[in-house]
Amino acid sequence: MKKRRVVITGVGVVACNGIGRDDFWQANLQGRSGISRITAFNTDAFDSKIAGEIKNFDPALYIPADVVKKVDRFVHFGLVCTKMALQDCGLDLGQEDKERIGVILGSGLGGMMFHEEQMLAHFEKPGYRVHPTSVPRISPNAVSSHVAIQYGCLGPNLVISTACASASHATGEAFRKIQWGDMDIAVTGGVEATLTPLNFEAYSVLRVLSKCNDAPQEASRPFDLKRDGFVLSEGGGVVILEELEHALKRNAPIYAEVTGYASNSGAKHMVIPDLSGTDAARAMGAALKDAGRRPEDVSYINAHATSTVANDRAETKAIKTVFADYAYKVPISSTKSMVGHSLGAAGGIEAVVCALAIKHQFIPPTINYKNPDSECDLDYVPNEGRRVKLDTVVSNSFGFGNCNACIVFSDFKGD
Amino acid sequence: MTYAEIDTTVKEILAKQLSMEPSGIKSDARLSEDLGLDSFASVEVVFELEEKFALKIPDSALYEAKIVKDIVDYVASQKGAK
Repeated sequence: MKKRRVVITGVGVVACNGIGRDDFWQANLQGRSGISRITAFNTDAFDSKIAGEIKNFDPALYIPADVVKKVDRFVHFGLVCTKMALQDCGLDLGQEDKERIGVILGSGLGGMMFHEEQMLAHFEKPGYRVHPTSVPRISPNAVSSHVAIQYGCLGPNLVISTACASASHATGEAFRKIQWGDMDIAVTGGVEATLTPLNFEAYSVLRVLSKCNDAPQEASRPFDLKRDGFVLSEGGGVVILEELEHALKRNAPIYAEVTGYASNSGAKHMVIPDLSGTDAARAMGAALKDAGRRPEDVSYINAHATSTVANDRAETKAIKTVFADYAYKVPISSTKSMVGHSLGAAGGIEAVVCALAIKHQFIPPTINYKNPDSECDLDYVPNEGRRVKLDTVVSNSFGFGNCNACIVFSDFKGD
Repeated sequence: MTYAEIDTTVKEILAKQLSMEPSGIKSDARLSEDLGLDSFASVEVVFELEEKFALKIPDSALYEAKIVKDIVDYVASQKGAK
């Protein structure tokens, strides 16, 4: 069977700097940070007191009220992003073969919020009885299943959990399933509700979170010499992937084509990336080969770049390995500088960024870049976005446990 | 607690579970066919009943209740209400 071509026909996003496609893209154009002091819980006990918290978000504006109260926050993000993306792509689901529509989403944590509430009550309140809805609320695959239930999607239904790379793995695997004929349409991307006291403390004790509490919007500083860790955030990013002929037949809006994907493992450590960047380079190289593109064809890299020293330097080394001299010419940016690190949602939000970047021919900046790091000496599109001709874009995601995913998006020119 | 109070409370619990008004819950309504209460929703209702009335309700009672009144009668019998 010949590999089929796959395009992005819809996007949906809930991010701390913008809810919905247009608001989110405005934030990317302006270099607007969504990081603020945490209001979701008391942070007195923690060194870090900031996050990319989604504020002014009422899921009931988008999804039925009885569903809202029965699911965890990560499912709210999934259902809302899916609704936005399906509206955006203009699909008439009543006319589609539902068996050919799959839902493949990423989530690193699942229903952590409800899990914590129940656990706390169970251990602290004598006689407390765990709620009977705990299992379906906490299960990570609640998000893909609720999306499928809501829209009657009868194709493959999966949640992929590879920490910070979850959404990119989900998107990549959905791409493959459409390429090889397992389905024609996918709701894919990722979601995460990270802001719970226990989860926040778990990341806090890893000493990976920024303590830039007095200037939250300047806290996420990927590639900057004075970065002091990443900023935890929440949200979701969903894209609709569609087989090209199917999309053309219904005159769908096409943001970009997904042209390549690769995943691999560094097989070294549960937290620390391979500092040589060897595994990340292998992932990028393989994804470009899969896309049939040369390194010189790449006009933008949306970096994983979390704002930790180890991560930013390893990724920079990896880019130099793959791109050689061209590494110094290719624009690279970290949109986590604006939205922080949303773990399992990150690759989904970044897929939305890449789709919009190609559509608008604009590279969002790495904000908060002030002090060059001699070991990170590439073009990180500092502080101001750039209007350039974008053809092929690479999106990197490197998860805890050395789980790597790289996706290649290309401008679709109708050929 | 009187039978009438139990009747009101049971209907409130069912109404909350089914996202409807308590006045819409009739005593002779069939739990599954008329109200659409599936087995999982029944588990949630039993949980709420146990919490509200400080009861331990066995699985058998859950399966035997066919209409709203069956639930009210069961709770009333356990609480000695008439």
